[in-house]
Amino acid sequence: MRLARVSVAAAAVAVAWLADLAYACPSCASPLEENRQAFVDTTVFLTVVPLMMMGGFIWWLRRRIRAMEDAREIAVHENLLRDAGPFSKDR
Amino acid sequence: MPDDALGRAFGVPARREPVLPNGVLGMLLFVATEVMFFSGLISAFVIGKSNAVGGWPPPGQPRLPVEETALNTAALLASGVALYFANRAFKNGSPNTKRLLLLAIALGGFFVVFQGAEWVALIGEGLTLTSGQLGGFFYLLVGTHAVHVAAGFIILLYTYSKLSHDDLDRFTFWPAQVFWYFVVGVWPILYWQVYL
Repeated sequence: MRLARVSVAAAAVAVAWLADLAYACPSCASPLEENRQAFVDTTVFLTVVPLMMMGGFIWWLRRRIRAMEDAREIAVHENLLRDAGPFSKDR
Repeated sequence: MPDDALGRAFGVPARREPVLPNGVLGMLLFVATEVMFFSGLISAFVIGKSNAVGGWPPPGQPRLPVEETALNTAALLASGVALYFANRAFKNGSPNTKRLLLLAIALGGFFVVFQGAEWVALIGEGLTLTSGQLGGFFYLLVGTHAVHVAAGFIILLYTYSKLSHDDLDRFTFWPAQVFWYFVVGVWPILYWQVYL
């Protein structure tokens, strides 16, 4: 059992050792400085935007929940709401 | 919780408003995917622009109408402001809601028509989807946004129709606003990147 684990770990290390650089990004090896900088900028931009959206949503939700908790609600029976004239639930 | 305690005391459940209505949550999720979609398009454009041989805009290509589009940008931003005040009027039950919503729709319509006229002029000058990198990116970015404006325009018309029939509630109005604010908010970024 232990031998199997060591073998798997050794295989993982061997595979990691064999890995080489893959130039999948057309901008990373660009001779143009402006192009490389644009790649870095857009990478940062695309990383930050979803985090900001999630953070902003959580912040807004917390604010809204607090505001709703601060506004006290009054429990009203359904029958009272039904025949309340112009304030009727069905209107 | 005081309201729950009150409800228990009278033997009735407290009526609670949802923190976030389903329609708004759905629209927010949709807009979040749209934000990432536009972010991807803008990033591709920025990298393409920085890789252009001979500078940007590419030589020999028609110039984009910067000043005219600035006016159109102002119209779209004004549409967003009009919608904001329409919502305030709606909350207060003011009769101005209809007028303000109609103004927002008219300004949105103006934006679409103006952009259509701009496209006709640019195509006439030789800027097409296949004329080069500028044309390809321009019609992709601005065209995608135009599709969203057209969709938002239809949503606002639907909202106005409901308001005219006294059938509009805030759970319908709110998601429509979220979408329109997104359409209005993303345009200045596109204008800055593509036109300036």
